[in-house]
Amino acid sequence: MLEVNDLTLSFPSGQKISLFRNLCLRFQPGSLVGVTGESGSGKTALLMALGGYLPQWAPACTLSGAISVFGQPVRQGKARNETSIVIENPYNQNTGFKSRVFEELIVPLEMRAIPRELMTASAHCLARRIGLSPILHSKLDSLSGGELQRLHIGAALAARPDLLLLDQILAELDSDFNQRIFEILRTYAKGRNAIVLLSFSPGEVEFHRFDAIVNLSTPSHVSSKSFSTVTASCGKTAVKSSERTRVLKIRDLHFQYSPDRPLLFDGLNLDVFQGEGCLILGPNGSGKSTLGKLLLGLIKPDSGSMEVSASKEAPGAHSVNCSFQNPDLYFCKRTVREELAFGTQRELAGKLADLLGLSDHYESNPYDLPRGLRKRLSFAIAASCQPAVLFLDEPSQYQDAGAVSTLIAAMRLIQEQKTALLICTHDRRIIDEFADFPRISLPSHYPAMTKTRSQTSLKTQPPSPGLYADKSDIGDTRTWFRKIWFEAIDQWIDIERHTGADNFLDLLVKTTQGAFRLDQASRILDIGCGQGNGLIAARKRLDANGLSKVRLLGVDLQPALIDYARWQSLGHTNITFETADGIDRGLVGKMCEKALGGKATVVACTYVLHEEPELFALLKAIAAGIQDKGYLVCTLVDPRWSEALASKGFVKVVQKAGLDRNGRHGAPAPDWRWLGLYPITQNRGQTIYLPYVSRTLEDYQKAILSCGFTILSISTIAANQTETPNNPAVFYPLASSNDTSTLYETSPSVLIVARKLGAISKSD
Amino acid sequence: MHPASRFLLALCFLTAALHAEMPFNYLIVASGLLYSFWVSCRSGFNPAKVFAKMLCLALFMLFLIHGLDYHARAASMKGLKIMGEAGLRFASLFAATLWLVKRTKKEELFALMLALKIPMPVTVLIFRAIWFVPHISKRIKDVLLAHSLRGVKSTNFFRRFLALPAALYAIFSSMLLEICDSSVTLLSKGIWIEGKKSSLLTLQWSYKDFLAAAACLFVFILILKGYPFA
Amino acid sequence: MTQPSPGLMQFYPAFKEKPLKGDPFKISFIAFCAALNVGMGFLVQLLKLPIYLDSVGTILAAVLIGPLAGASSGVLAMIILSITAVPTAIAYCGTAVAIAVCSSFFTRFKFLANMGASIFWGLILGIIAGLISAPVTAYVFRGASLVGADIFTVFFKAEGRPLLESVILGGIPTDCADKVLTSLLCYFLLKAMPDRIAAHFTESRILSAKPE
Repeated sequence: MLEVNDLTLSFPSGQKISLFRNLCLRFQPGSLVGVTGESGSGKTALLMALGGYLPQWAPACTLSGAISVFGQPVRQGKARNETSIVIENPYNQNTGFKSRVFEELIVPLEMRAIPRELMTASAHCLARRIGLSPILHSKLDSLSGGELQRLHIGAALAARPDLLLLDQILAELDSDFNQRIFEILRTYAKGRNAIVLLSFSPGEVEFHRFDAIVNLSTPSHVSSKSFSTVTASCGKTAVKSSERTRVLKIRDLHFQYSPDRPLLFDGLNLDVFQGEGCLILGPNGSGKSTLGKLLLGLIKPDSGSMEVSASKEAPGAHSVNCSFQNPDLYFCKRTVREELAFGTQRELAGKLADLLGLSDHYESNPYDLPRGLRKRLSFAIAASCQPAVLFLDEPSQYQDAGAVSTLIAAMRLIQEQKTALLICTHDRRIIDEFADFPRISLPSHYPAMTKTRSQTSLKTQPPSPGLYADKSDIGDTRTWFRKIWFEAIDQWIDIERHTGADNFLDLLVKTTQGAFRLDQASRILDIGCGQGNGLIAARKRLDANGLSKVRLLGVDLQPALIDYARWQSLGHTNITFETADGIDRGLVGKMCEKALGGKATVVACTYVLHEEPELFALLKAIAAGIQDKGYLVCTLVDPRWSEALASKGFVKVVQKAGLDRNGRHGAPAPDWRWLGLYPITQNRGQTIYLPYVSRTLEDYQKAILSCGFTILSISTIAANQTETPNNPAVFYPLASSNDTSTLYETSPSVLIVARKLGAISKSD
Repeated sequence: MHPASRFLLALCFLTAALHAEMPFNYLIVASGLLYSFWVSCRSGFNPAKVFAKMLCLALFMLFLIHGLDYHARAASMKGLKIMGEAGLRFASLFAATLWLVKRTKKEELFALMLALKIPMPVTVLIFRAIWFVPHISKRIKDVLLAHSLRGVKSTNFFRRFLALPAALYAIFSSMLLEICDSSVTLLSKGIWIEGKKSSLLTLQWSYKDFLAAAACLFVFILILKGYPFA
Repeated sequence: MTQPSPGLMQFYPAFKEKPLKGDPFKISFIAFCAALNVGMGFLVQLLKLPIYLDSVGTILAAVLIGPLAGASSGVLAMIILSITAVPTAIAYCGTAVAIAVCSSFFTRFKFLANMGASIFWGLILGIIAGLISAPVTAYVFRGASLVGADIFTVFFKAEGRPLLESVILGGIPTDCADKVLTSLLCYFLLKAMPDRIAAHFTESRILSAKPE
């Protein structure tokens, strides 16, 4: 859980940058949070503060208030190892240690001492998800901005952080990947139970893609106010066809950086007329920026001709000017005022500055402005030189909706000044606005990407060959059950994790083909509820359906794994928690009787015990506690995992080890709740992990049957069936904190739904 | 081959070249120089052209300083000898460095530094600096272009001179703003995590390393013995 | 030895911080300064100027962080220069260290605080740099430094002076001119430094004499 209390961030006086005040936030694990606000509203500052990166990023700002992430307070300058951040500029995030994509992707894992086999496996797995597979062995300096950004997102995911901060990453990604990134982030947040924060400019993304939105906008923003008056005066310029003079003529342009890289332009033809323009569209790496370089004469085309003819009326010194993607290259003076007066047509520069909201910042150093303003300043400078052709590389980058409108107004204004615009953009708002412009769509040069996409899509996966296909008695239910699984696959991770009660309720209804109905008198007991997340989710679901009287009780059997503070704080949510110290079947039975009045309807048993007497004791106690119509739901971790892990040689599987029962109130191991495996004893330098299950599924079936249950269904749960235990790609290394040992989580598990047959004697 | 034995071989070459007697040292350095220019480039970074140019410049300068007797207006034999001796030093250093640069991959160096347990800040410092060099050159080009587009003239010497502080200011400020951001990502990538690291590339010793070690040992013994070296 | 008063300490950043511990910004900054030293060569080459200015980064790191930082960036620059262009550059590490230590020390005496002081201390720095690199050039490389002004050495040697003397005579004036220009550039950079960057360095405000 991410908690922010009373956070106030301010820069020293003298800088007119409004930042947030008394911010209070609370986010549950597994949520995808959007942070938005116009340029300079403190989106980046908030993310930096959450990560504890402020002293590195901007040491001058002062911060008050408290931030805690999963119970740990965040101290500025002491960054947590479980936090990852991706910033908006992809070009300076390389570590510089490596020269190829694959190796750079792995750096965070190397730094966390993950074994070599795991690193390669997880890098391949990640690369497939984020569509880097086709360029996995390319050199880093041959990548475009969007590809690099994907690489950095991959590297951040590889570290398996529990808090992932993404600062304006959408600006660099092309629209195709923009859609996918949400899918990836959501799956990650759910699967890892992590919190993902993504900042974006207002209007860039629809709000409904997020679970929560932090909006840092201030309602009375200068630029958005001035905008409405401006656009009214700047209509579209209609130029009669007879007056058209051609300023740019490109014929049969061919270009390729080197023979082993894709042919970027294959016979490009383009005519641009004075005061008009052209839109250049295309995904990352398709050669948009290269066209700019060709226009400026920085590189020579392989063949073809380019002619720029400056008209006599345009007084500009340069026939082609360019507003680069990086605005910082432009400035050479100490204040914005001097910048705007230098080498430009002053009247136009003043007009543009007023229009773009720069007039408030005349006396500041251009490099002290927030990114969005820097970008607009560089645009104003380039445009007020009055070139014949102005090449704009991603003009709307870092701009909020209001600023984009003013930018469009400014573009219309310079169009009136007879400058032709070549606009490279991904931005829908600009594409729609300049719909009258001719377009060039540059093709993507990685056809393999679309293929990867369909491969990784979860819903098109073929059903898995079940783990126990030879069991005829469960055959029918299994195939049917699997169908449900693929319907519910988007939520699979919830179920596969410890609780996810809101889904197992749905599943239970489906499994029993509607025979099972929750009514006001139902009671649900969740054994092994750890954090209680599942119960909270179930509570919400039930309340929403008017079943507020259904009682929920959580019991946990392993004191070392309980978050006591959280349980106490959840007391008011109408969920009762009890602790069973050790595996005391009498106590579990008593709880069922006492708390549920002997009428438990559903028992979710998410812990699976490893010692035979304990398992039997628990099952019998449950059987004694629930009514005849009660259901038992168990999630198990696939027993084959222990073998697979043991055969890999990096996890020692202990068959019989006592739980550490001394640490009753001790703090839980930092990452235990993310694991299918959890630490039992800590030897020096090496942690030994015990899987939940160290026996076969048949053993469980026998145990469940012998305690008076009939098994309704058994199903395997797996995210992606291409990742089987035999395929190492399924191992996900986790971000271990300071611990030098490595932690792993497993993905597939088994879900058993059973129903009690008849009465069973309460004596034993 | 293990990168460590590559360094050993380079050191051995330098010692042998500087200690050998008159005809042998020229032979050793010439063959070393030829080999280093001939050998294929593994690392993807080949400064052979620049090195060749610089070496020629060095020899030319040495010739101007020593080789000519300006009073007699003729070449001096004594000066040429000094020139030859200094030229050997230059050539051997150039050959050894070129060979190392051409044959050692960045990843190998990184793995070596991890294996040697060199403190992470030092490793980061070195690799960041190496990474910054092409980055800065690119930035310099971009800034000069941007400035020329907005009208910073560079037509005569005085104007070019005035363009220098402006360009440096833009380079310095823009790069430092990026460093503010990128140091944050470095932190989040985990370079500051203390303790053990793992490495994708495991450095292994092979028979080549034993051969290299044996060869070096042989050369060092020869040097100690004095034959055929001085 | 008595503890220096805090008033003096703020003018004397040296030894106050340990740059190699902890802060990734400072590490990156030192690396950047090293690369800037190398990059300056490229910049003056593009601008076709007959100077080399290859200690801008060293002086900036030394003045803004401390002598150790300056020395490491100077040495690193020499290493990079020696693997990319001139392998003999590695022999001039001593000069780089001396420049770093001296310029860090000179901040006590208002180095880079105003223009006059920058020129004066730049001159001193040039003399020191010239004196330290001259023996290396003369004895190790017999006069050909490849990173300095060798043509002056040729001129003085042709006059019949001994090698060391001609190297010193040729080296010190060029070094002085170069270091004075370098100091002036650093002075302008510090003066124009954006606030957001200046906030990283405790000394920058004092050095650039900005109004608080």
